[in-house]
Parts: sequence; structure tokens; C-alpha cells
Amino acid sequence: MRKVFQIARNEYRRRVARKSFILVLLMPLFIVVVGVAVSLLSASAAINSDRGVVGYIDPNHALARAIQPPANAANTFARFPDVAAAEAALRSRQIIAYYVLAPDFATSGKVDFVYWQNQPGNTVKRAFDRFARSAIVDGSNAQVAQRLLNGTNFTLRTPDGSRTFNNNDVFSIVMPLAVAVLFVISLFSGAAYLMQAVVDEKENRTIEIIITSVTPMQLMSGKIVGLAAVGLTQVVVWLVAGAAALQAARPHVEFLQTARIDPGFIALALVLSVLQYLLLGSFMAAIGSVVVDVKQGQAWSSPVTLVSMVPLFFFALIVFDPNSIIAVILSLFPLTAPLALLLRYNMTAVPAWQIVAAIGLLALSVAGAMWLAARIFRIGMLRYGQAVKIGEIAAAIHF
Amino acid sequence: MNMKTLQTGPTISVAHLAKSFGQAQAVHDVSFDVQRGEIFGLLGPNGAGKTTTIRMILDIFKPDRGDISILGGPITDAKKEQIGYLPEERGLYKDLKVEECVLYLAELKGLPRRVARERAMAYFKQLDLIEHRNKKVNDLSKGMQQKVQVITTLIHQPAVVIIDEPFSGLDPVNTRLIQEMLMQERQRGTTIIMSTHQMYQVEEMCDRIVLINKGDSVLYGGVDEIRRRYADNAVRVTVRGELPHIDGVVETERKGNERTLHLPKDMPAQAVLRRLADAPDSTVESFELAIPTLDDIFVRVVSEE
Repeated sequence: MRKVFQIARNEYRRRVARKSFILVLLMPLFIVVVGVAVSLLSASAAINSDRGVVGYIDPNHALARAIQPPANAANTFARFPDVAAAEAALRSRQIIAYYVLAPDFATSGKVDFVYWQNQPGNTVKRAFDRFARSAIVDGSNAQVAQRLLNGTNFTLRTPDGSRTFNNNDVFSIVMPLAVAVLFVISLFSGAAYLMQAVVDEKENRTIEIIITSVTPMQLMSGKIVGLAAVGLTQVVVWLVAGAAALQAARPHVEFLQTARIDPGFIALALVLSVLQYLLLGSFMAAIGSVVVDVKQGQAWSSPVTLVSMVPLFFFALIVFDPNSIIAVILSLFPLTAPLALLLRYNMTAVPAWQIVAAIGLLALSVAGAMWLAARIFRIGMLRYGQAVKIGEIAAAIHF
Repeated sequence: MNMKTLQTGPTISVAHLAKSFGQAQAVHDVSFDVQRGEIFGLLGPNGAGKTTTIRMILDIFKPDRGDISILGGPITDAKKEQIGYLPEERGLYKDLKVEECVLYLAELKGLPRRVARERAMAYFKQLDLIEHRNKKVNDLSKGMQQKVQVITTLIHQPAVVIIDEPFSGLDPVNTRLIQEMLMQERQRGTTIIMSTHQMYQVEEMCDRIVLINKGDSVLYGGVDEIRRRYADNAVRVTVRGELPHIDGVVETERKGNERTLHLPKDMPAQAVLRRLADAPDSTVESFELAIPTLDDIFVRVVSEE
């Protein structure tokens, strides 16, 4: 165990000290910071320009029973007798825009929108929609009207109550996608590091020395653990930065105001990331030991990478029908389970048994893959400049 | 490690070792013993099976047949920490600083970091690397890298050292330095197996040798004993003036001023020396029994095989 730790520590230090690591670590942060800054600036500008009174001309009193938003709302509505009066108010900046309702508005819903120079954003349109719809409901009972206007807010629960899911959370669609992207970047770059590390060890000829101090299993485990720590460092830094960015953006972005990050989701993401990394890492280390150079390694590893990314190809299916048989199968198959489960997690209440089964199968696969990789590694490690044949690999596994 | 396994008999014993890779038989039948505290030469032409034999001793490859005993029995993880190995294919982490690289490899041999650092500093001073210890390995010359490699082989004070071509890439000064370090190791009681093609180094340093050819051990024993075994009845002389005619000399070879006189089996060398001394027109400058060099023996055995 001591030697596994020493190898892991060495791998970690070597990778983290590289400029390429710093670049990979900081680039997404840079993009997030710039993205948040730009959206905050534009949101702030839009909010300021969209605040104010909105006029409307309602010849047939279709909105007579409409409920006026509270006084402190971004938009309130003022009725004008005709277009000329509204036009004058718009020119004198008393209102930011005005709506002209068609005489048959009650049946056709037709309406014209007039603004001065800068078109107001969607928030004004949404506020007017809500205001107009409120005229249809019974204005005498504001609470009932409000309930009807807000629509349904249902929570999906598994029969045992272990998992719940709320459908009104826009954030729940954005979040898994963001995590899936993070997941793909960190896992695959980490696994690629590992293959590179093994190929380096062969190219440096250090492997023959190391192998007289440690067993192939210790060497493999040390590298896998060390580079897992590198990947984990990346993910943690990104998560912390993401959470900070979220916190900064929350007051200014409407859908973020109701967003919450499920600690269970983060815990599941971390567990699955570590297991998936160990699984991919074992494959990559084995591949690194049997190939001549990194280029050949990439060719050999692409099937593994492709299979692991299959859930992304089925993204639409998983998001819109998260309990379909394909989504469930992808959640249980070890190579695809992490990505599929994370995508499904915020789309439905994934039954607890599926999560447990997926983690169990993945853990078993990790143990098998590490054992297998150590065997393959033993025959491939001293093959300098010469790839190992498939038959030799099969013989090593069988032996 | 300072710890030495208490044991009687040879430190390393190899008996009837065989190893094939697919259809290719790398080692067919190799046997030898290496005693504690000796420098043992593992010789042979390229592709003879030396490296495969070394890798089997180190448990990198499992033999198909035969027995290996090291430090009193089969190799274990604990015993690996008592072995220092300098492979033919040199290996250091090019992107690490020299000191970091040495400390890491020493730690993997079970040496505490503090002790490793102390010893590393002593070696850096001895091998004139102190100024370079914070440079990346990749920035060192080939000779300097070779010295760092030797440090990583010896830093944990192993009981057994296995070195493959330890002097390649070194200038004469550093060759002498490494040679002295290995001799000191022998004095400390370290058992050393040295594989090299530099026969004069073998003659100078090794106590005994085994010559492997085509996977078989074909010559085995003490260096002096083997040289005597392969010696003809001949003398090597250098004379100033005319070499006199000597009755009984079968053949005379000339190489520069030196002549090798091949004698009949029953003719003593003293008879030649007496005749040379009596010759009025010549002065004897050197006279020695013509014992073949290991180089000659190597070529002869391998050619005959």
C-alpha cells in the first residue's frame, strides 16, 4: 500500500505541475467567468431598460377584470383611451411600450406591440401575457386566480418515497447537461493522461527499473489512483467555481432563483466519476502497455471511449423518456452507467435499486478490469517499439 | 538497505534455466552460482540470452524451466528492496528534477526520504553532480544521466547489484570513478553481477564469469583459471635488436615490436628466456607467458560454437 501511495503521489505531482494541466483546469473557469460576466451585464442592462409602466389600449374592455401586478413589480400596466394618448406617453417616456388590443381580442387574442427605439425583452411580454390571462379568471378570488395562472406543480415520487423529482425546475435540465459535459471532459482527459503515463514509462525505459521495486499491480494501481486524484482535483475546482458562479448569477437570472443543487446528485456524481475513472483507467493503462506510442494508443482506446459516450448519443431519449428500457439498460451497463444515470437523475425519480445495481456492477467491473489490466501490463511493459499481438493478450488473460 | 539476509551458500543460484517467447528460444540451459561479495561477469554475444536471464533472476519474466535462488530462496517483494538494477535500456523520468527522480526511486526501494536525501547528497558530491541536482534529467548530458542512473542503483545499499553495461557513455575519468564505486561495493560485501562487452573491464574487475552463447552457458569459472585453461604454451617477448633463432619454436607471430613465440608442449619457457639472454646482438625488454585475453577466449569460444 505504501508503494501504491508513493507511485500515486509521484504521478499526481508530475501531472499537476505541468502547464497543460493548469491550462485544462483554468480554461473552463475562464469561460464560466466570462460567460457569467457577459450574461450578468446583459441581464442587468435588459432589466433596467425593461422596467417601467406598459400601456395598453383596450377598446372593448377585454382586460377589465385583469389583476394588476404588485406595485413593486418590474412592470405595471396602464390603460389608455386611444393610440394618440399612448403614443404621447411613450414619447414622453412615461411608459416603455404599449399594446393595442384588437376589437376581437377576447376571441382572437390579436394584439399589436409598440415600442420606442429599443425593443423590450421577453420579461415584458411574459408579464403582459400573465396580466391578460388574469382577466379570464375570476378576479374576485385573487388566490384562486393566482393558482390557475401558476399552473400545476407536481412532484414525482417512487413508491418507497426514496427518490422525488420536481418538474418545474428548469435548472434540472441544464444541470445534468453541464455535469455530463464536465464528466466527459475530466474523465476522458484523465484516462488519456493515464495511457500517456504508461506509454511515457515505456518510452523513458523507467518501467524496467520500477518493476524491480514494485509489482505490476502496485504500479498500475498507483498510477490509476494518482491520476484519479488529478481528475478529482479538476472536478472539485470546477464544481466549486461553478457553485460560486451560480451564487453570483442567482439574483439576476430568473430560473436560477428557484434552483437547488441536490447534495445526493453531487454525491452520486462523485462516486460514479471515481468508479468510471478507475474502469476507464484500467483499460487505458492496459492499452498503454501494449502499444508502441500514444497515436496507436488513441486508435486502440477509441472503441472504449465511444461506448462510454453512447448516453450522449441518446441524450434526447434519456431526457424526454428517462424511464425507457434503453435508458435503464444504459444506466446498468458499467461503461455507460455513470453518464446515463447522471442524465436521468434530474429528469425522473430513478429507483434506488437501479442506482445501487449500477454502482455495484461498476465496482465489480473495476475490480475485474484492474486484474485484467495488470496481466496485460505484464506482457506489454517491456515491449519497446513493438506492439503486442491480440493472440498474446488472449494467452496472458487465459494464463 | 543495510540489512543483509543471513545465508550460507551462493547469493544467487541459477540452475538449468530456460525461457521461450513464442517460437523463439531465448534461454535454453543456463546455470551458474554467484558467491557473496564477488563481482561476477555475465558475458555473451548480442542476443545470447543475458538480458532474459537477468530479467528472470529479477522476476520480471517467469522461467519456463529451471530454478532460481536469490539471497537464500525464491525472490520476494522484500528481497526486491535488496536488489539494485541498472538495465541496459537506461530509464529515468526526464521531466523530473535529478534529486526528485533519485529520491522517488530510492523511496520505492524502501528507503526513508530523509535517509535517501542524505545519501543522494553524498553521491552528488562524489560524482560531481551537486550543481546539477535541481536540473531536469532531460537537461543533463548522457554521461551525467548515466551517473544518476548508477546512484539510483546503489543508493539503497543493496545486497545484490545487477548492472548491464555500466560504463557505456562515460569518459575515462567517470569510468574510473564508477569502477571504484563498484569495487567499494564489493568490499562492503555486495554481490555484483556485471554484464558487459568490455572484456578488459571484466579482467580487471570480475572474480568469475559465465559465458552464455545461443541460450546455453558455455564457459564458467574464475577469470584467471579460464585464461590459464585456454593458454597455449607460448611466450610474448619484446627485444631490442635482432631476435635470435631459437630451436624448437613452432611459430612466431609479430604485432608491432612484440612477438609471440608458440612452443612445443614439452618445451619450458625458461629455455627461451635463457637463449634470449645469451644472444649477443639483442636485449630483452619484456618477457611474459602468453596467456590469452578474455577477448581472445570470447571470440574463440563463440566462433567454435
